[in-house]
Amino acid sequence: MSIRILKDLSFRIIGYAIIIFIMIILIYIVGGIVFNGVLSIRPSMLIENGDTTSGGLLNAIVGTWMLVGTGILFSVPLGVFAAVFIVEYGWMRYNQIIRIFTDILTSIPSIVLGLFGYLFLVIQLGFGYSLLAGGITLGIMMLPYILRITEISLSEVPRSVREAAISLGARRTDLIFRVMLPYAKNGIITSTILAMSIGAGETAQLLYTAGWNNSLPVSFIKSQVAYLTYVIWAGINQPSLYSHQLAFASAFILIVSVFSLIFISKFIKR
Amino acid sequence: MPRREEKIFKFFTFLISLAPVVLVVLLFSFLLYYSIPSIRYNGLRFFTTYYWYPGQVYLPPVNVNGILVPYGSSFGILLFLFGTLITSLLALLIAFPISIIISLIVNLYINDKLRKIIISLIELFAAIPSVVYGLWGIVYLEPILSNYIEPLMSKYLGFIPFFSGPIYSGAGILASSLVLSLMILPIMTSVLNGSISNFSTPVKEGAIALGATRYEVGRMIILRGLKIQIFGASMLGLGRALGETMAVLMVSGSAFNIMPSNIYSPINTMAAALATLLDSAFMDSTGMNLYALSELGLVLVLITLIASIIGRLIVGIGIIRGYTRGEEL
Amino acid sequence: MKKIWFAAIGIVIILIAAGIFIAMSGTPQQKKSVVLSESGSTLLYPVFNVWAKNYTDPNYNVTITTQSTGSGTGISSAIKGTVIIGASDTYMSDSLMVSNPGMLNIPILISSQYIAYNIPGLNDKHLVLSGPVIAGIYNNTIQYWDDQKIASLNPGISLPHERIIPVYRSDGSGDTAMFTSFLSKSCQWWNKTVGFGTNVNWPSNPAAHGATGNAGIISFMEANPYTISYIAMTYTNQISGKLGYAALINRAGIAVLPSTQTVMNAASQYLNVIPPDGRISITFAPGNNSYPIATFEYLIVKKVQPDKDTAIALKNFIKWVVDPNGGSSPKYLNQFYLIPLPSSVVNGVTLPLVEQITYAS
Repeated sequence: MSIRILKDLSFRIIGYAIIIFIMIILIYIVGGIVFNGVLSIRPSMLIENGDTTSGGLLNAIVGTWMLVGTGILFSVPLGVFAAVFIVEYGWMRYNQIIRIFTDILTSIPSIVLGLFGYLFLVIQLGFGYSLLAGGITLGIMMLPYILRITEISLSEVPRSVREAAISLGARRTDLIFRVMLPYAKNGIITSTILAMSIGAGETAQLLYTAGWNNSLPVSFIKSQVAYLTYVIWAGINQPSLYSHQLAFASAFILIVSVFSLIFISKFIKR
Repeated sequence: MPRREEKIFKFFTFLISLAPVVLVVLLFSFLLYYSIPSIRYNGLRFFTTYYWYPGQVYLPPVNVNGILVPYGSSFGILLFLFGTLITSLLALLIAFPISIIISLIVNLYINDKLRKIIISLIELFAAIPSVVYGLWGIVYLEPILSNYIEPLMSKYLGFIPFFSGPIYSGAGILASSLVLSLMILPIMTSVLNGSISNFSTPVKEGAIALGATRYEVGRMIILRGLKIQIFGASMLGLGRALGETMAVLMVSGSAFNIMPSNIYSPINTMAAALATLLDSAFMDSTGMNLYALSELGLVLVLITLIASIIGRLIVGIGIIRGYTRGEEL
Repeated sequence: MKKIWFAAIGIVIILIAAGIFIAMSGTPQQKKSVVLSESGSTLLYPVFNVWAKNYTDPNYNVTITTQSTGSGTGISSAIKGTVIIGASDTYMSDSLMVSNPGMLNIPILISSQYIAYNIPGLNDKHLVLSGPVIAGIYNNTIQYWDDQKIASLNPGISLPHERIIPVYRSDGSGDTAMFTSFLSKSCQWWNKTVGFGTNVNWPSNPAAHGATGNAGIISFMEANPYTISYIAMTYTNQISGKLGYAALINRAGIAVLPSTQTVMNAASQYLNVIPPDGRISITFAPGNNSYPIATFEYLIVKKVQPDKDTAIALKNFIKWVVDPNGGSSPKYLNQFYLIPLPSSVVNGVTLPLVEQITYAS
């Protein structure tokens, strides 16, 4: 066997070993959380409100999705219509500028977004710790994902389809609403689901914008919201064993829901 | 009438498309506005000292050059800056070879179906929330590091500078870098995998037909051909690592006012410090603590931006082709 | 087939009936709803949760929401009006009071902390430590457990020659405020250079280590021998059997162990000198039997509440909190090792402050 083939073989073996090692770590992380989560979770946690030291997680579960929902309500209309403008009306220079700013938005660290949310939404606009403050802060983070994936899907509409629509005398708005958007539907849905899965796992942005609530919020502003990642963060820093169990149960619920969302989005793509 | 509707609709979407610009401008102006007193008070000292002294907020504030600040306060981010850079760079150092090897292996040796499975499994790393990484780090990683790995490293790798010396709790530079490397692995692998599988197949197959081993194709043709994309992927990973907050906060050991002495030492990063110091900053009636933290945030954003923008520009050109549409029709 | 239909309709009817029943029983009489939002101190958080669950107001449907954010956020949220109640381990500083004159600092409880250590073999003994010695440990002038300064306080105990690892809270914390206030009063150097507050100018010490939250400190100390730190009494059950804690030299020069009684003694030394606005530090108290680390826990509220109902509900709640038959009863406080205010402080300071709460007309 020549040196060259030996090199090839050893590279292959090392590579396989690394892949297996990384898979083991993945299993270790997910397995560790699932294992502890299953040991910790009680059915009562799913139907009771709680406060990270006692009770359940219902308020945190519902609160998480209310925050994510608010973020989606903020980011999807903005993202989709912005993408429509970019693909349909925008000129190259303008689109490049928007793209640069979208990229900037993606790379802002979450705690800095949280600080901005606190200074601008909580204090300046007077929302207080609330669904609106937390949700919009999440929405700002989601916006770039929605915008870019929608943009890609819209620009993938075949030229022939568009030309056919125009030759039939369709107006621009008809083209957009009857042809383009339905065609890009899957992309929009996928990006929304992806944004939901990212939003549900965020903590740093919400610490100083959403607050915490032992029950469900009663209004959009000045009523604090509970969320799951907070239970993990606060629970592991509390003295009692039950707090730790709540933290693990939350991590478990979070992982399961985030993974299912991702699975669903993969399913839609196909 | 329809024409007017069209125009209104166009104008409406135009306004909406400005949203990213408006948000970025708002964010920067808020951060900058809140940073100005700190920039005036701390000046260059902000970058050259590693002491973060919130000052004595229970004593009357003192007037320094016309600025009211808490008695004894002084703000330097050198430690946080160093911590952010060292943990991110180490994470990159760990994730870089792994992501390259994985994406070469799956593209050269493994069939399409298995490749897709492996890549989507690795992408699952990206879906795990940051705070869950922190939880895992506290419960599983730290004990393993402090009981087994770090003593071994200190014993056998001690001849390398910064690898010897006392071991503490497991929380520190090494733990942070390891967690970060797992968090940036998926984005790097998936970008590299994209570039490599886009790499022209005829060249690959041709070289193999000419008798090159797959390893040689990978090393000499693919890696050389994709230098820029590899650099871009690294920048994207770096950008992600620089801004990471919760996971690092939970496993960093939160050092203050002391530079680390070795790779096991506690450290603090800009993002983690921002999260932990914000609460006490509200106790300061002069607001200087909040201003200094805003400046910290501003510096953090700028650093992260540099890495991400470089990465995105390169990768954007490299893999998402036919994406700069919009001028037609 | 028919049977299934009957069953289905039956189930639907039963469900609707149950729903109506629940809806009706949920609102027996028409009480006005008031939300008292709380945010702040992590130390008060567990007891606040218990209070929130057990408190009922005769006239209002009161919901108390709690949040564990830290005292600084609690104070600032109360000032900004994002919450009604800011819970804090410290009172507002003079300069904060000047810029926000409309705030009240209402003392409701007393809390204290241990100076805990992990020295294998000595954890069941109570070492004697003093403020200057602890300050020396944190500023790196006392580096080993068998240092002369520690040994002279502990004759007859054989101390190990091991490097001391001082641990501090990296997040802003009332525990840090309590601890540094004790050191400031008992050690000149500390007072001048480090000072006191929820976060301070920590001295540079290569051995020192930061940890988040009391739980973070405890788990770090358990894993690492020869550590020393400060831990809230709330965490008594978590440290018992695992860590040792020290007797501290008080102002009278006598070593005193922490207990409900010695902390009460410390607080009672100040009964006659508490200012009417309630803002006082009670660390390093005089008296032979006073434990030198203790603090009042505060509710930070606005003097002028947004509306009448909130103001009245808030007053009722705070009165209940300091009532020995209400929120301050042992059944709530003992599990957290919190100490109720002496009745003289309740009547002399807390209740007059509560009466100052009004509402915008």
